[in-house]
Amino acid sequence: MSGTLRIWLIIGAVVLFAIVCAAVRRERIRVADSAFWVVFSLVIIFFALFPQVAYWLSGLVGVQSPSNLVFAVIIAILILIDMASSAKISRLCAKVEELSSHLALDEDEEDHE
Amino acid sequence: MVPAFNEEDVILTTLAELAATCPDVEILVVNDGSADATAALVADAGYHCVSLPVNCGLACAFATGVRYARERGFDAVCQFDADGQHEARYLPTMVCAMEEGDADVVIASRKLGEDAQGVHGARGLGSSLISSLIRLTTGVRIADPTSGYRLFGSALFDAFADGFDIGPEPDSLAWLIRQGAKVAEIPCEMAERQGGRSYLNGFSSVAYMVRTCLNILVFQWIRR
Repeated sequence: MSGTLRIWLIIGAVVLFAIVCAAVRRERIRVADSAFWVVFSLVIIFFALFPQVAYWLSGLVGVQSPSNLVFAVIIAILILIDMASSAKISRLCAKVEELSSHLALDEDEEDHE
Repeated sequence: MVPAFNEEDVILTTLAELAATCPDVEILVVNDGSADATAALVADAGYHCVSLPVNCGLACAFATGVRYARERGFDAVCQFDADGQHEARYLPTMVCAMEEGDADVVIASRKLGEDAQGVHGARGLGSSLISSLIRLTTGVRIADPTSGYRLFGSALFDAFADGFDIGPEPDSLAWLIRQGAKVAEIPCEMAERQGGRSYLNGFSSVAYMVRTCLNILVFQWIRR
């Protein structure tokens, strides 16, 4: 892992954290949902500050370049959160549909009273 | 205000005791999209029950109760568990504490008094951590911030009814204190839950702690 990569990782993590803070402040995201991104930026900073961990891990799983391992870990985490987001959106869609039908039926009942 | 999610086993016992102990209090059950017979049982027994058509979580159920209270000009709303953990006999003391101490929030605390029962295990550890974080950031000592037995005065109705991402939780308490709300505590004992399930278990309790600490330590300062 080159020094340049480590610096860029830290810059990226700090920018990410700033974006999350702005989103919380502007009431765009709930704190519960922002927690993942704060932890994620901390993980990136951890890898940047302690590259030994990346070296150790890449030796463990047999990846030649530690920086590739860092990229792979980041991609894996992002795929997982994307899956979780898709699942959450599905649940939300189901709830909105259920709510709409409840509302429609309630209004219909009121009309006929 | 009694939020209820799948509490058919115990809710009638809880409500009967509450009604018998505090006849002057209006009871509103907010059924949070229960899949079981909670709503039917409560309505058949003659209690006032509002039903959310889908499960929306405690914060939303609580906000519904607060909106109800605001529209009808109530003085305070008590968050009362359906599962039998909260004993109704403390409610009059909480109301007194609110009036005498001019408080906005009164918490029934398991950690006050000489023979306080306290909070044990991992839950107690989390509770102590949250307590010290609140003290660190607001200077106010709350012995039992995770107690779910709280009385909220009408001055806070707008915050809970209209606010973004505010619920009846310890991190919201810290934020409200920084907005100028006054918190008082009275000693109480709590019973074991008589039925139903806590929404805090395994992974969700870790997520709960992360959210609570993050909110108190970091986001409290930048939120409006």
